[in-house]
Amino acid sequence: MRSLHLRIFLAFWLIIVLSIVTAASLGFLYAERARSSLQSFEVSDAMIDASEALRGRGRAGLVTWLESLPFAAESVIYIVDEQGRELLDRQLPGPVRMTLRRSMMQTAPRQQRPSRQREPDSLRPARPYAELVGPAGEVYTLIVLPPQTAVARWLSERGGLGLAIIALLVSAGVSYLLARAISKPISRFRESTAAIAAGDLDTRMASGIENRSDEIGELAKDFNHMTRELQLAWQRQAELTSNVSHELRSPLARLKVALELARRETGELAELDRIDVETERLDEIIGQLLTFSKLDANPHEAGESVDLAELLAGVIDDVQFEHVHKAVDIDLRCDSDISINGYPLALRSAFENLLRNASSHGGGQIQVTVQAEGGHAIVEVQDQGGGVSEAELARLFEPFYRASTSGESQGAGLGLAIAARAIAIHDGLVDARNTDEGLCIEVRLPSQSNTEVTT
Amino acid sequence: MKHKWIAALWVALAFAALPAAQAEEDRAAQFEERIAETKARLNLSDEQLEQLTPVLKSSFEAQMAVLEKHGIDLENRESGNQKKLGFREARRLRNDLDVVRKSTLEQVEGILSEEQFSEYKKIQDERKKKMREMIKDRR
Repeated sequence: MRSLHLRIFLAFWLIIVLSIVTAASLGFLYAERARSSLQSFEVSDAMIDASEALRGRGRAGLVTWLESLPFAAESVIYIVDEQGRELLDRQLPGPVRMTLRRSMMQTAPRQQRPSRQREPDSLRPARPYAELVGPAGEVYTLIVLPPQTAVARWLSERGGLGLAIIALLVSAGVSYLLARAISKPISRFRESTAAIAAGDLDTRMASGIENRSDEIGELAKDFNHMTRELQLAWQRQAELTSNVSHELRSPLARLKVALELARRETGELAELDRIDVETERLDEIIGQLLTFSKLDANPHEAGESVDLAELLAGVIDDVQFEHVHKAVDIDLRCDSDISINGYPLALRSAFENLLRNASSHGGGQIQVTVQAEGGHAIVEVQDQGGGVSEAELARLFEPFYRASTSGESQGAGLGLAIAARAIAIHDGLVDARNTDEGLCIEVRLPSQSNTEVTT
Repeated sequence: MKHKWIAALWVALAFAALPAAQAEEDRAAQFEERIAETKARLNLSDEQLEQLTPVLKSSFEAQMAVLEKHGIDLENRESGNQKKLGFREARRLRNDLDVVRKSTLEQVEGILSEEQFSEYKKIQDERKKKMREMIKDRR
């Protein structure tokens, strides 16, 4: 069906038409059977036999006659006394019971009828069933029902309920199909937008949805076009950053050489030292930009099994060495051997930046814990730096964002962004929270059994 | 009189060159010690030793050059006037030494068997830790 609009319209229309047709058909069948039974009414052999039995032996004769009827009689025969009791104590069918009650009410003495009953003295309503009058004047109602199939009997006894059940089933089925046709692609859209928001720009709507010829198919085509353009724009930006950083490296290298030559000619000068420091800082920022843009474009390395404890031990060793001038103690606690499928250099870069951040801003004692939890490896880096304000937590992983507590730190604000990006390409998550001691950064990576790294 | 001055100058020059010569001797001894340890732990054949010695020598010299470039003097690490390493300088030193180690590993891999190579990586890690300790302990 080409149009979702048309599909919804037809589905609603179908439900309404089906409900009307079902209700009308059942009502018509019921009324037709009633009319048929009234029209075909005639004094039958059964009535004559019953009359003779009553005349001969009274009520007992009627009971005996009823019991003598063959079990599989073509018609079902009931006899009800003046008190409304069936002689064989059988349950009367619902509609018969209702008609009989109404009839008995109409033939009751006027003072016993409900006051709202409109009935002039000259009018006596017709009795729907034949009556047998006994020798003592007692009256029995003889009910002869036409033969019925089990379904017909069920429908006649529970006609209203049957109608309601059929209407419910039909409308529920059609409604389910309609709701599914709308909600399934919408939930796919939701999953895709969530994946894009999480940074996975490779996400596309499945071809099954894109190939639909209705409005959802059109939306899926537009969505995929949008993500392709978004990915292209992102790649261009990453390439630009990478190229600019790369181009900046050459003049920077020449600047360093010129600085060394100037030192030889003029000797040590405080200004030259300052230029040296700033050049080094520029070099580091450019290096970080290159790393960040490379991670954005492609990891460019082969994926392999990485032992987290081993990787972290090496990174901790390096970071401790970098802070040789400052008392930084990094304690690693790893409760079990946990491996993940990943890119070793990217992972190393991620943890190096997290630990450098903790060492630079926290200092003192840093606690690194690694534990397995539900198919994930959880790495926590806890520093003692007092944390950051709650408002800043969400922005910590943005490129070039520096928290207000960074103080005199000379970082460019790229370290945590690099870490977050490196974790993201492993389908992992990184989150920061304040604790009593300081800032705790939690990294959640799919452990080896749950991941497949494509190279 | 003139000869006396010349003789005094020679003596002064000889004394001035003594520490440098001593350092050179120390380094040579240190390298010999490394080669002996490597030979014993890797169970090197004569042919392997012949191939490995120039690689390790050039690696050793490159490491010494890196240390010198960053103003690290491990022979006189307790002299009391050692330069303190800042965070950035320590990182640059680490990176430079890593480049030398990586280059050495690439060259060594073609000479050693898989088992020997794995053992060599252990030796390199141990030396790295030892060197870091020495750098940290400087005063």
